[in-house]
Amino acid sequence: MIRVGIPQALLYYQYYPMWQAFFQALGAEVVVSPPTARPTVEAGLARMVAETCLPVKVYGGHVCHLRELGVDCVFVPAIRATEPGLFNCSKFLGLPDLIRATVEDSSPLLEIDIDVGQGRGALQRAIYRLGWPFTWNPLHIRKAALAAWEAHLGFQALMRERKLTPPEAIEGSGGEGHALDSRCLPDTGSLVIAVVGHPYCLYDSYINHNLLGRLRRMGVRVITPEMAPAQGLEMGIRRLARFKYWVYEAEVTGAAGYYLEDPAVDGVIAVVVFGCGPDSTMLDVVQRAARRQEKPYMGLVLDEHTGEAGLVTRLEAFVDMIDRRKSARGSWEAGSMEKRRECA
Amino acid sequence: MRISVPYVGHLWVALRALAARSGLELVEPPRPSQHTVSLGVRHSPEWMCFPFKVVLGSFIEAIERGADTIVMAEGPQLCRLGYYARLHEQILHDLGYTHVRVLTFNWQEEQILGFARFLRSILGKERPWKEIVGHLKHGLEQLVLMEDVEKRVHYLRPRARDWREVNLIWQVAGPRISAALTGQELREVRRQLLAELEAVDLDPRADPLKVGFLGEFILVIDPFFNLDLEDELGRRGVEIVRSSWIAGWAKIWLFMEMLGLSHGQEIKKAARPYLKRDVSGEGLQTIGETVLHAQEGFHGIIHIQPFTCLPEIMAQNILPQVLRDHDIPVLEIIIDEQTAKTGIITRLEAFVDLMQRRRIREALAARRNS
Amino acid sequence: MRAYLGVDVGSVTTKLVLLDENDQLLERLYLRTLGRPIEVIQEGLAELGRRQPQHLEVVGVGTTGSGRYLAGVLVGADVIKNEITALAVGASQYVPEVQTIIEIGGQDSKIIILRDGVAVDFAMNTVCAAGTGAFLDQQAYRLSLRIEDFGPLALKAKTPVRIAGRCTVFAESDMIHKQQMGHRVEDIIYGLCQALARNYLNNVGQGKDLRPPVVFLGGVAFNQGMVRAIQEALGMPVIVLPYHEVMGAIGAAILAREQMSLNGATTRFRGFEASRAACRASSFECKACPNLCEIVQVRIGRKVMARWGGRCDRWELKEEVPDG
Repeated sequence: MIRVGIPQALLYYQYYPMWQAFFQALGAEVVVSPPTARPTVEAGLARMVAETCLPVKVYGGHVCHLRELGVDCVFVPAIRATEPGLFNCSKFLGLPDLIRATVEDSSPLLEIDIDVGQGRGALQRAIYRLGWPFTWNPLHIRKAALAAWEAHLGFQALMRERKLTPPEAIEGSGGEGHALDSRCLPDTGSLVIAVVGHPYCLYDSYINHNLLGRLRRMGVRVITPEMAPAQGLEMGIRRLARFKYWVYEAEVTGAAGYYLEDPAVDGVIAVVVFGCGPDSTMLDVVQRAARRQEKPYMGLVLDEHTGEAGLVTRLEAFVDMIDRRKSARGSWEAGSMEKRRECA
Repeated sequence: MRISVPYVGHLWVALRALAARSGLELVEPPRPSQHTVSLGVRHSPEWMCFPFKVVLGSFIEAIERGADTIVMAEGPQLCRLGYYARLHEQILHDLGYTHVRVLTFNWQEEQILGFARFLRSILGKERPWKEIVGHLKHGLEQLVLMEDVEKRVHYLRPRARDWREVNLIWQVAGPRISAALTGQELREVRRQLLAELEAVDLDPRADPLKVGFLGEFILVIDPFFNLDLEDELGRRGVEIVRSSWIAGWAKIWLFMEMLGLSHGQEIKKAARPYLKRDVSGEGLQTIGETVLHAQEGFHGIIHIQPFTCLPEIMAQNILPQVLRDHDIPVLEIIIDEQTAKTGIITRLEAFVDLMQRRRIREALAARRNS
Repeated sequence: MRAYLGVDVGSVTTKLVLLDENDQLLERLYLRTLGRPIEVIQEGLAELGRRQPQHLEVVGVGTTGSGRYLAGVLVGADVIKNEITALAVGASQYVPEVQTIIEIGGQDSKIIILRDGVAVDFAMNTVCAAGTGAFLDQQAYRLSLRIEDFGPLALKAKTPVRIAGRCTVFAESDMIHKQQMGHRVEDIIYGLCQALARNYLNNVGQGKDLRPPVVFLGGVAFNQGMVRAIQEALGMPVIVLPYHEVMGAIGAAILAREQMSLNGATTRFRGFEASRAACRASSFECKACPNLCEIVQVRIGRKVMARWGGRCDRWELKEEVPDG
């Protein structure tokens, strides 16, 4: 059985169930790298130019780790466009080449170019090429592709309906994610904060210093872009930015546009990465919209030097600020502070 | 409508003539300066590309001079550049310039015909097509001449007995070309400029180093952005060779890539072993040009890029592999609003020294082996 | 008399204040942390204890600053709050209509936007020292100036020099270069103030709607050169309050007062004698997983009072410190 390695980084959080279903249907064994830890980050940092954004460095570290796990190949897709006319960051466009150049001792790469803009035929051919190493039977490959798509749709529906985060949903469906640290899962009478950003920023608890877990421990109910309806995200983009530009715009601009309008949401936190080109544009758009909306908003910029203390201080200050604003408006009983303290 | 366009490269050489010929009200922003940069940086997202910030500053200066319309490129797949117009508009409106309109043009989809239509829509539908085409043709010819002169300047500066003689001609080239409003005047200016350049006194012993100057497009073509590095290199006896040119770019974007651009295909082929895919911007070109220049025996490469430029970060990560196969020294220069020229010049001088010493060493080694 | 204690433990300075029930300042201390937070807190506590009349009763304690948890354990805090909230509360006490708070501290800088007396937005820069007090200290030292003379000298500048502000190392190289070119010291240091002000507004102040009244807090507000540079860069007058350097501690004490009057509990204050407690911090590397976190442990006497530094909660104590 061929062992296919999938790094638990970057687009893992968005597409893992799809990829897992595809390769398993073709008879391969899927091996996922363990969650990000310090050695992963250090392995990535050592191999890439400093300006490279942190999530890509982390991805490199995961590819290194997969070699140690003894896989036959590593799956590294080049996602160019998921819709015609959209544009993806250069790092995604050339991800396999980047890995080949920087992680020289990695296992052989299994590449695919996904460019919906090139048309259905090209996409189908690309998928068949991906399946060749496993089987020569095109019908078998087609079946695997359909199973993959089903798994993907199911994954998205699960998160939306049950209000789960990707790691939680992956865990539930037999995947290899790890659930967030949450000592207290309040879902009544607490502050509701929407966190928006790319999944590899929101759900990698190492690089974001367990952001979601900390918020939950403060008694906050956290909602995410994956929990919003797809049309809501599209509308959010149109409202804030006129038209969609980036492949991964929905989870930042779209989610921000959607949650900023939601009266049930008390505050929005955008989690972006220093050096992320798309984020530099989206963050500005979101910031301006938040100001117009007058909704409590905070942008958190992560990089490998992000100190935990600074992050914690900002989170505390933000939650405090929303709390005090609400009390100032008289819509919050003093007893709520007691409720939250009990949780901790 | 009082229109302004970013002050990038030699664009305004052609635009001034367009204004004079067509009666279009164009507002020329001042040449970018530290003040432009400060203005732009103040109101731009922190790690946005440097060109965005300077262009924003430039727009604000143009608006202060009376512009009420900005023309910018827009459209997908132009790296972050395609997003500029939207952000610029929001920023300018938030700053209080709510009367300003941002007109955008989608290069990739519209190409030359679309641009002609766009120009006509600005000038007025009553203008005959013949006039529009005439303006376009003239503008393109001016840019082509400007760049032909520039190429010659790159060749002559390191070979002249006194580089100042070359610079004197270069400094007035722009205004003279701008002032030529008809085809005939332009031909005359071309004849004169090239003759003056040929008359420059050359040092017969000059043996300049040959260096490839490549990287992100705007930084390569615009002396403000690249801190006048082409001049600094020319003075130190280095001949610059570039592949990024506005007229060249105009040919790619306004016409189709097939027309006489085998060089583009050659670059892609050279890059293939290291980078199989386009990563937008000039990422692929940087890799491919480095390979080609190494094969052509150039003495070094100067790779210039704005801080956080995504395609160039890809190139930076992939270049070490290229350099393992092709022995050519590369100087990485990363520019943003905080860059101090002194530090760059120091590195530049060290690099020029390094290339000279390598050349001497190789010559000695060759002599020993023969 | 009932009083409230506020402690602000920053990376460069530690501040302690005592307020009476009407939030009036009774005592204040501004000390250099010098990398020894436990000793400085205890010294401060001892000094305050010495200065106090016998009938003073501390009925509420608030701590803030990067060392707020450590101070909270040592001193016995009722409220432990981040610096943003503390500064906003403190400044609003003196300038109720304040709209913008600028704070440039030893190693970080902040901006807080208030509307109707409540903080509605903030930003912090904890990435780089080029916009902070530590850098000014360093340059004063290098130029053999006392930091107190830095401000008055900067004000004498006639043609300030532009200094590259990317980071301390680059700014310093640029300053040295300018000195060697012959520029006058006052022009260089005022240029430095301008670079800091520019850095501050471009980073921390980016995208914020800055309106007057603007209050300038933090130790750096002592530097008149910086005050002028910030005013010029903002284009608005800037208020430097008395006690600006201890405003965080004042805010913490006010928060303690708010809290204690809300729930009428008794204070957790360990008394001024806590200044004599045998408080020791030690650290070890946890080997339970590849993260190899460095765990810090604080003991008072034999008892482990608190532990920090772990990414998971394996080492955290069951009984948690209050977070107000």
